[in-house]
Amino acid sequence: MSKFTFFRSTLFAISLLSFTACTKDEDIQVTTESYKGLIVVNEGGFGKSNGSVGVYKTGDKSYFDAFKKANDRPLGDIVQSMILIGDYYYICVNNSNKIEVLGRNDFKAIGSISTASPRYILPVSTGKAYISNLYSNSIKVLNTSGQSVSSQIDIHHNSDQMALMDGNAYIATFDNKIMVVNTASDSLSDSISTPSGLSRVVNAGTGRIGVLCTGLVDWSNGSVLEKGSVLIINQDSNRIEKTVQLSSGSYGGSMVYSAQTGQFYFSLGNNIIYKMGFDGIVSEFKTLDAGRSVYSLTYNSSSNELYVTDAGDFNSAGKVIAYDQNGNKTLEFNAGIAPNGVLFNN
Amino acid sequence: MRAVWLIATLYLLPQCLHAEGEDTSVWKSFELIASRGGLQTGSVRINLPASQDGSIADLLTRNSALFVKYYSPGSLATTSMRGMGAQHTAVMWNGINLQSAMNGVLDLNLLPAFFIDQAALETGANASSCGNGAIGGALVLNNELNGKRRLFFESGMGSFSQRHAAAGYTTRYKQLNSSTRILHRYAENDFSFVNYFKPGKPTERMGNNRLQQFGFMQAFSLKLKPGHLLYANIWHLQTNRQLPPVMGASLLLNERQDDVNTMLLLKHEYKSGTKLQLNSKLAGLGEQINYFNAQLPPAYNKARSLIADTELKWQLRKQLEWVSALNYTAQTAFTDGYRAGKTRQMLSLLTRFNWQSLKPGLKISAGNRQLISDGKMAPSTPDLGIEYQVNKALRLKANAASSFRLPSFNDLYWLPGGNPDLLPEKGRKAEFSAEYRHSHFKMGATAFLHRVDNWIMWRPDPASFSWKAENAKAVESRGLELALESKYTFSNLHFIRLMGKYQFVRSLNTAVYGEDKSTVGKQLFYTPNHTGSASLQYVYRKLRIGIQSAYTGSRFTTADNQPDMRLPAYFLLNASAAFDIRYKKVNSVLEFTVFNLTDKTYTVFENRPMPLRNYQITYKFNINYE
Repeated sequence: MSKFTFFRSTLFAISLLSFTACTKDEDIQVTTESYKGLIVVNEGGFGKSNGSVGVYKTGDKSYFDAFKKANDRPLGDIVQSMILIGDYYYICVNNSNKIEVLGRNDFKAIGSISTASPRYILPVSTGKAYISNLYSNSIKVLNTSGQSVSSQIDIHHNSDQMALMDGNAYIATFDNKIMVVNTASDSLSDSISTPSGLSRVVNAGTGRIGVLCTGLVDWSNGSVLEKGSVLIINQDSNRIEKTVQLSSGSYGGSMVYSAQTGQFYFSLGNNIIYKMGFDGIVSEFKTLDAGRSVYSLTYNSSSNELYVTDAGDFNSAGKVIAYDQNGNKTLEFNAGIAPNGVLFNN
Repeated sequence: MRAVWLIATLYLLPQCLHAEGEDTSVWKSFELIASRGGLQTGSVRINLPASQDGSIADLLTRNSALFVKYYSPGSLATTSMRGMGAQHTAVMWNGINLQSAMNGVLDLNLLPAFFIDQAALETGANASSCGNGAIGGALVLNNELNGKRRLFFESGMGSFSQRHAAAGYTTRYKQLNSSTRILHRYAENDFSFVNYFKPGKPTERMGNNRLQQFGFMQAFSLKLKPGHLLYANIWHLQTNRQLPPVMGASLLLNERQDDVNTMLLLKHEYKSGTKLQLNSKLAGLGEQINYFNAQLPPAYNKARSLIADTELKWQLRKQLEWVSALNYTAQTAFTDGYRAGKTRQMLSLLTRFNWQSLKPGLKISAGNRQLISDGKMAPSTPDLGIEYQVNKALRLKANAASSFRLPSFNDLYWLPGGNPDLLPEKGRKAEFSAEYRHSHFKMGATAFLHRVDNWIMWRPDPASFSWKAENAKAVESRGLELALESKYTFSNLHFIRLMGKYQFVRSLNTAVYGEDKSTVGKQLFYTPNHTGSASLQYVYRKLRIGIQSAYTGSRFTTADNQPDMRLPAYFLLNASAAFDIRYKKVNSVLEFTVFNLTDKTYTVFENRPMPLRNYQITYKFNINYE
């Protein structure tokens, strides 16, 4: 073999190695330091730790990963929910077994509370909040003054979303039961059985709790075995005073109540949003564009807009879309992976 | 056209895998470009060094330009060939396709390299050769029995409590040859990593990442009367693995997985002079995957395959060979998603004509496989390959083929989301390559174009608020592969060997069948445009010193190619030193390797940390009794 040939091949191999040096990570340029705006909670994909909390600036129509920007680190795996209590945001990062506590204005993390599988936080009184969780039969009691879990309440079921009304916490479980906890004594006071697919409990004011049940679907063939329903629970008796059966069923859904319009807005996870008043009359509020689907609903009482998140394929940027009361689209932007809620920090 | 192919198709399997004539020591040479034909005329085959420690995934990571996807050392590992999916690489074990009936992929970390005698990559291998699933290419793993009496053993240990011990014995008695191998691998894999999810980015140790594997292999061959050879081979592997959580997640789930794999092959070879060969095989594959999670009930999944095939090669004329094959495969699976079990029976028929010019220089091969699955006709897979030896140094190859992949059982039946109405994925490809050899210099370049329609994906189904398997899109992948090997001898005492491989792939979604078109024109996620590897080895008498490097380009982690969710490229450097000791019939080698020499922090998957600098020492010996 000639030396020239060996030289050429060496040159080739070196060139293989050297082009690597040309690659560098791209920095994400954020145009604002302000954390005021539309906050989007992005769940992320399970087992990917790509959940995030971002801020959308309506002025310059920019979106950025606010938690990462403020704290120079990503958030975690399955960002389930976020809530403002006093001057602090509490973020439940479900599969990271933690609650991140942030300053409202600068998004700087002031602490992290370790707790198993947190789902939602419900402030029940000054300095006290409840934490629901996926893999425990108890509700954790959070001391929001000391940022620590102080005790727990056994409710016999794994817990999910919660609503507060007149000193009682209504806690949705995964077993079609709403557990009622007296927030003064931190004790279980009642339970309410629901139809299949218990999905959401919302405070509808005037002593009533709205409940969305999405029904029962046969996994083997997708057929609906039990249709979904919307329930109205009377807070005085803790009994169901109205059941409105829906035309279909699904594996999941979302519901929100607007005191301004006196309407429940709900979806069974497809691209149709319905509305319903206390009279139980269901009508279609909006059908989203083909290919879109509702992952969460949030009502902005200031602007009277309904915010919809669409998780898409859970592997691309999800969308946030807002509609006015006439169903006209007022806003649409791309957020993070699987957005599941919106907060308004103006 | 399909009918013409069907009529033309008789029976029998692809061209047999050719064994490379390598030396029989336990540390074999590494030939970059195979000197003999592979599965298919016109396709490119790259040999891998066999008889290494670790798994086949480790072998590929260290010695190829392929992007091997794995969460962590020892965890589920798959490969992307030419920008295609993991399910598009056929894994051919002694001519038997090992792709799982359940999910269509094979975990490359389950297969120990110690049990393999020859390993090769055949990028762009054709469906007519490998059958269902070979859209991107094939990984070829073969055993050989050469009848030499020898005892070989290796043992090693390394960082993160890694240790392995393996032993083998081959012998012969009259016309009977036997090869026995056993193996044990263990690793805590509790390597250190920087946890960038926590304030201050502390360095922590990976938890719940233990690997333990036992393996046994036995092969026999028996020469009967002249022209007849019986061959039997059985592998049994038991692998217990903890599944580490993603960085940022908790250890609450304590996931683990137990795998049991059994492969049995019986073969009869008959040769009548130089004109006729008849090979018949019967294989049974057993696969069991048990998954455990502290918060959920365990999931038990198992699958079995029975494969019978026979292949006839008939030299019709001096220039013309006719190959005909019949393959019958029956698959059964019982999983957590379809507990009642599912079965599938497939019959495939192949005919191939191989022609070569009287004066060696031109080879042409044309063939077709037609598969019938449960009575339904699968897409026909014709192919045409041409090889032309321009001169002693230069060989040109071209190959065009169709391919397909039947939906896996999980795609079809998993509850919820399995879709019995799925169509097979249909692939087409064309490639052109040139190989140049001069003395100790070899170089190969291949340009390729693949297109796959009806690509099966699981995606959210708004109607059911669940995930569903769908024929979701079409993908087009085009690119370039380069390979180089060179050796320079200073004197009889020392020489240098250099190898380099590079792959450029642009793999784009060309069509999306749903309403959301945001991923059209986007690169497939976790598919780097650029990958490459290079190694330099210096040999002085009994001492070998080497440096191996591997480059993996940046990868998008989202289907819509979000620029701020792209993983950075990484460049890894390994270094090794080995010393051979030979005394009479005993050869032994002591080898020390440093992986990730530059202590590079990197992830293959998003938020899945990989080990920093780590070490391994291995001792091997081989006693030849002849």
